Order: sequence, then C-alpha cells, then structure tokens
Amino acid sequence: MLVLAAGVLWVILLLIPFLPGILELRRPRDAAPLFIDMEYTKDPGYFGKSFRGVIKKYLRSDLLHPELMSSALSRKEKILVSPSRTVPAGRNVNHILCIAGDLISEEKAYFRKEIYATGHAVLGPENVVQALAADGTVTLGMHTSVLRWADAGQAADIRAGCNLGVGLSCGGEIRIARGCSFQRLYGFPIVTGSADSGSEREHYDLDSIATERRNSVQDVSVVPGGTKIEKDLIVKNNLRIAKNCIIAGNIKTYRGLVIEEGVTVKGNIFSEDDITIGEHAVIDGNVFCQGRVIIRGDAQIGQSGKLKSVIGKSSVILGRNVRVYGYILTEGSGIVR
Amino acid sequence: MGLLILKAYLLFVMFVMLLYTLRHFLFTLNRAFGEQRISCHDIVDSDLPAISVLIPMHNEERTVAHILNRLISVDYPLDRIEIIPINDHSADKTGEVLDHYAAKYPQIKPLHRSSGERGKPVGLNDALSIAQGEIIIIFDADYLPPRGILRDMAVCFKDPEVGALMGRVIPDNSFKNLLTRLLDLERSGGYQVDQQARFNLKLIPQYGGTVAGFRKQPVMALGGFNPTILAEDTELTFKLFINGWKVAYANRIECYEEAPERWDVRARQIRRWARGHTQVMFRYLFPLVQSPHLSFTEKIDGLFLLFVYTTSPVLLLGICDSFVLFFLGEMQILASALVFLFLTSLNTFGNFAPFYQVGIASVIDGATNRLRLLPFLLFNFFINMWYVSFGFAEAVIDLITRRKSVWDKTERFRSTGRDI
Repeated sequence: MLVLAAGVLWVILLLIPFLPGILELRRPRDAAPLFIDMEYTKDPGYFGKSFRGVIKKYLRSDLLHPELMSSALSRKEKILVSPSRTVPAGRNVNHILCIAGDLISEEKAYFRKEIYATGHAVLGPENVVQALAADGTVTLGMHTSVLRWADAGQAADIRAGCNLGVGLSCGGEIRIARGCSFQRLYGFPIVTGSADSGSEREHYDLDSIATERRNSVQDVSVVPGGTKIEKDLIVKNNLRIAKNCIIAGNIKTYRGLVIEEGVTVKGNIFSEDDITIGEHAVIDGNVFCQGRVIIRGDAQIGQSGKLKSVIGKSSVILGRNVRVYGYILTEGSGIVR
Repeated sequence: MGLLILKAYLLFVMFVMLLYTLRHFLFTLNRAFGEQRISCHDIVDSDLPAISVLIPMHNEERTVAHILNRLISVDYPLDRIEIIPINDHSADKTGEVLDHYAAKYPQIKPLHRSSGERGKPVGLNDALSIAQGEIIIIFDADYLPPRGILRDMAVCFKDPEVGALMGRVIPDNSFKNLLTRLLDLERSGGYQVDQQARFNLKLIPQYGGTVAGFRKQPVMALGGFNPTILAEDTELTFKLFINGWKVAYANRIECYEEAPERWDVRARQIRRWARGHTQVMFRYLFPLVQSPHLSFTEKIDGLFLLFVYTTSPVLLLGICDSFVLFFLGEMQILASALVFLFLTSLNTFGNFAPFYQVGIASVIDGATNRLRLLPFLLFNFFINMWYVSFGFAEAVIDLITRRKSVWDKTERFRSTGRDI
C-alpha cells in the first residue's frame, strides 16, 4: 500500500511541472508568432510623417478662429485647431496643437502635447515641447527641450543648449549650435555651429582623446602622413592615420582609430572601439563604431546629393562646423561641443 | 579493465556536458547583463550594392507565390536587384508559377534545373554562375521577407570584413501544435541569445543559409558550395572564418519561416542537419585549428560549434553506459556523479537552445507566457538526441565509404490559398 501511494505521489510530482504547459496548450495565452512589422521600412523621418498622417485630417482651410475638438487618436485627446498662432511667455498648453500656418512661442512656453504646423515653427528660449512637426522651418530657441522628437519639412535652426530628445529629422539643412544634445539627427546636411554659438574655438589634444578610455595605447599602427593607399585597411589593433593621407578604400580596426587633420577617406570606416576624426578630414562613406565617434571641427562626412551615416554606440561628439550629409545615431548621448 | 573504461567514459561525458553548459551559461549571462554590440543594419546609405536574391525551390507550389509577392514589394531600388528562384527538379507547378511571375516582373529571373544533380548546394552554385549582384541574399521558399529587409541586409556589407550575414528566423506557424510551439522556443533561444551572444563576444556567429547573405566574389573565389556536404550554411561559415572573413549577426533583421508541423518531418530535418554538420566537422577541423586568421577564442568557439552535433551520440552512449553500470551493480560509485550528468545534460541539451537561454530570450522578446511550455522541451531533447545520433552515424559512414549524400527536402504545410 505504501509503495502504491509512493508511486502515485511520484507520478503526481513528475507531472506537476507539465501542468502550466498543459494549460497553455489547452487555452493558449501566448501562441501567436512574435511580431514582425512586415511593412516596416527604414525611415529616419518616420515619427514626423506618421504624426502628420494622423493629424492632418483635423485641419480645415476655412479656419478663422481656434476650435477645440476631441480627436480619435490612439487615445482620446483634446486638439486645438487654429490658424497661425503666438503662444505667450510662460504659457502651458495642455492639448495637441494643429496649426494651419505658423507657430511662434515666446520664452518658457510648455507644450505638454504634440504640435503640428503647416508653416514655420519658431519656439522661443527655454520652451519644453513634447513633439513637434512643421512643414516649413523649425527654429528652437536656446535651451529648449524636446521630450520626444521634432521634424522639420524644410530646414531647422537649433540654438545653443537644446535637448532634442530622441531626435530631429529634417527635409533640408539642420544647423545645430554648441551644447545641444541628441540621439538621432537626419538632415541634408547637418551642420554644427551657428551665429549665436560664440566665436571661440575649442582645442583638442588628439592623443588625449584617443587614450582617454585606456591608460596606454600600445600596438598602434601608423599610416605615415601624406601616404596614399588604394585598398581596404583592416587592422587588428589601434590605427593612426597621419595628416593628409588619402585612403581610397574602407577602413576597419579592432581597436581605436584616429584619423588626423586633412585626411581623405573615400570609403567607409568601422571600428570596434572609438573613432576620432581630425579637423578638415573628409570621409566620403559611413562612420560606424561600437564606442564613441568624435568628429573635430570642419570635418565632413558624406557628400552633397548622397546620404551617409555616422553611428557611434556609446556617443557621438561633434565639433564646430562639422558637416554630415545624412544620418547620425547613437544609443548613448550625442553632443555638439 | 572494461569496468574502468565504462566509468571513465561516463566521467568524460560529464566533462563534455559541463563544458557546453558553461559555454551556454556564458552566452546567457552575456545577453542578460553584458555589453551588446550593435549591428550595421542601422546604417542609412543612398549607395546600395547590386544584390541577387536566390531562392532554392523543390516542389514549392504551396509557398512560391507567397515569397515572390513579398519580394516584389520590397523597398530596394529596382535597378539594383534581381530575384533568382532556383527551380530545382520540381515535379509540381512551381515552374509554371515562376514563369508567370517572370513574365510580369522583369527583376524575377527563374533558373529552371531539370538535369544534373539535385540539392541546395548544387542549385546555389548554378545560380551563382549567372547572378549579377555583388551581394547574394538567400531565402528558403517558405520564408516571408518584410518590406525593408533587403536594405537592412545590404548595408551590413559596408563593413569590409563582413563576408556573410545572418538574420533572425521566427516561425509564423507557432500556434499550430506542440511541436511548432517548441520549435518557436528553440528558435528564440538560438537566435535572440545564442547567436547574439556569439556576435557580442566576437566568436563564431553562424551563417544559417536563409535570411542570410554573403559576398559573391570571395565565395566564388573559395570554390562556391561543396555539393557533397548537406550543411552548406555551416560549411560557408567555416570557410569564410578560416579565410579571414567574418559572419555578422543582426538580431533585428527578422523574417518569418514555416516550422515543421509533424514530428517525422522535424526528425528528418534534424537528421539532415546533423549529418551535414558532421561532414563539415570532418572537413574543417584541422583547417580551423591551423588558420592564422582566427583568434584563440574564435578557434575555441569554432571547435565547440563543430562538435555540437557530436554531443548527442556521446550522451546517448553515456546513457547506455549508465544502464550497463547499473546492472553491473556499480552505480553506487557514480551515483552522485550520475545525477550531475543528467542535470547538466538536460540543462544543456534539453533542446538546441538550453532552457535558460530560452527563458532569457522570451523575457527579452516580451513573450513570457510561452515559458509555461518549457518542461515539454524534454520531448524535443529525446527526439533530437536520437535523430542527431542517426545523422552523425550517417556522416561517419559517408566518410568511410565515400558515398554520396542525397538532399532530403523539408516538407511544407502552408495552404496555397492563405493570405500573406
């Protein structure tokens, strides 16, 4: 009898781990395939386009006065549809704005919801905006914060000290001043530095930048200044490409890569560590690394009429008057020095 | 003496299992807490390479229209793409469907093969000889490529060291039955954790032969695919690594596949994989060790990868060994060690992705209810062990007798009328 009871108990204990699975098979809660968006295509301006697609239906051409209406977005929201509008200093705006014309705000306005303007959007200093799409130009005053994203149809002028949240996309040129932070930028081109960003120049010590994350840099391969190489370079340690070299190929390094002043690279550059690009260097291709990308003043990535990317996993640091034709992305912090 | 050998073998089995357990724990910890490398697919570039999309097909009338419909709607520039479905001795309506599509879409250029040998490697070699693209992308016929996938794949080859690329496979029929749900779990662990961790740790991510791509020039220079090997994907992985190229893994490049819905079909598939993989092991073991292009850790991981299908027959023999020892009355000596053996075996080889890998993968994917099925992976374990052992034995016989292996195609289950 005891043996029988022990046997039954053994079978029960054996089956217990399977019970949740049997329940899942009989009444599935998680049987659907993992989701893949089959229509997804890569578009750095996706947020702006998607928002416009949803919000445009609320606009009317005969609008003379603001009207507050309920929208049927993903959740019920109040939406203020208005002709061109100026938001006074310090005002809190608690509903979505849909402007048939220009939007102007004075200092310290707080937009808690998204904004769409068919014209230009000129935000004063120290504004806070949830998200902003404008078909014309977007100007963000000094120290303005974008909590999610911003998208400009024509051009964007970002004054000093702005925080661009997830990112800024633009159909034309982005001018972005020093002290701004971002995760993604997409523009044709993206140019750092603006009229109000001050005239003093920062001086970088290339060696200190390259060694900041290590106590010493050993095993450095050096391409001597003025060298011309017409093939791909794949280097398993650190690589320094000295002044005025021309590399007509791609570069890949397993450790840090320092490209000095005046170097031209016709291909793409990849690194498993940091990439530092010196002043007046010209990189025709993409820049991609698992560490930091540091681009010093007057360097150029990509070329007019083409679209290239600068991707640094840890951070992207841009000096003054850097010009990038296309896309900048980082998982960490993007900063304009 | 015989008893000593039996005991020594059991200890050897435990040691092997322990090594693989440690390896997969390392992968799981890396994926859960370690530094994650980003993949090149985030690059946005207006200069896209010319690509050729090859789709090996044998009697694929159930799936051919689905994959072609997906591929004609991709966002890749039309002047930079050609689609080459390889109609490999099909006896059904695959050829007719292909000709119908080719008449409508100039980028579709079917390759009809009705003479010569049949099989994926031979078909790929023939297609490579006519492909114009510098980058070759491969999908099996049951796959459903998303609209933006080709761009994401093509830009990964901007890295001059990347010889091949592998994306993530997700079953689209996971809801069908217990088997498809278990395979779904297995795929999650295998890609979300195993492949990504190997990519993170700069080891040997595996080119998997579908949702995958490679550079045409080096592959042609290395002789294309060996028609006598049933695992052309594993062969290419090792061929590239040994010759100084890398395989990149991009976890965000995802594509649906159809998982086998019957155990017998799955058994044949796994048997073919084991046979092919073991053929690769015999051929590439020494070149791997001798290659000047691989780091020490890459070589170690390469060895683990080459021997992975060997563990099933080793374990099977270990279980038989333990029975013999039991009836000889010697189990008390190894009792505690035996418990350890079974624990580590189940930990590691309960399926192709150990259960802790599956667990972490499901958490990362945000799909945790499916973890309730985890104990059922025990069934997969026994099926895998049995049929992998068969495949291994076949590969050994292939080596000894130099006989030719025949490609055994995986049966499809999709309904032709299904909306995709």
